[in-house]
Amino acid sequence: MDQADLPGWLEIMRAVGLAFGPFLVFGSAVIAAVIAWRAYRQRKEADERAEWWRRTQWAIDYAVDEEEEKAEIGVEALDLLGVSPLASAEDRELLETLFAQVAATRAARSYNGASTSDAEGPRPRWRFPWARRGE
Amino acid sequence: MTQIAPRRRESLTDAARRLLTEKPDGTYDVRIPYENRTVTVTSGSNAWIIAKAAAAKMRIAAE
Repeated sequence: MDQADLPGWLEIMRAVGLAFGPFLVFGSAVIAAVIAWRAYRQRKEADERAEWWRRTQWAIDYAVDEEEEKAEIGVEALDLLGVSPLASAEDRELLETLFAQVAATRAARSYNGASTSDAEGPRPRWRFPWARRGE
Repeated sequence: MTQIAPRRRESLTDAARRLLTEKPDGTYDVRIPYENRTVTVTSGSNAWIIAKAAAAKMRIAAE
């Protein structure tokens, strides 16, 4: 079949393809690159957040430890982790509660009946919500 | 050309020191401003942990 024998509409499509084909290929490549970049960024952010949470869990375990040296290291580490851009507002709220509980638990532990300056007395020992009684 | 020094965050120890008072009898008073109370603690290291946790809580709430 000769080119001259092509129907009119197909001839127009061929001309359009020849004129815009390279641009369409380039545009598709750009769109694919943008999609790949976004997927890479999302994956990287998710990995970094997972790593942040892993470090935070380690620090929480230390902060609530009975041993004083460990608890101090844990509190210091959580203080640093809290200012990370990876920490969400919700994470910061969680850390805020945790700091308050660490202070309250330690204060209650050192309470000897007349040591606090107000009349509140000792507070109940703080536990993780998932911890069983007596742990 | 003047360079702007990066803003340094105060160390947690310095922030905690402001909440801690050592008393002549060897005990420590730790101010907990958000609970509006002061706790007296006999152990120095425990007092530091309470003060650091209280300071960290206030810092994270303010940031």
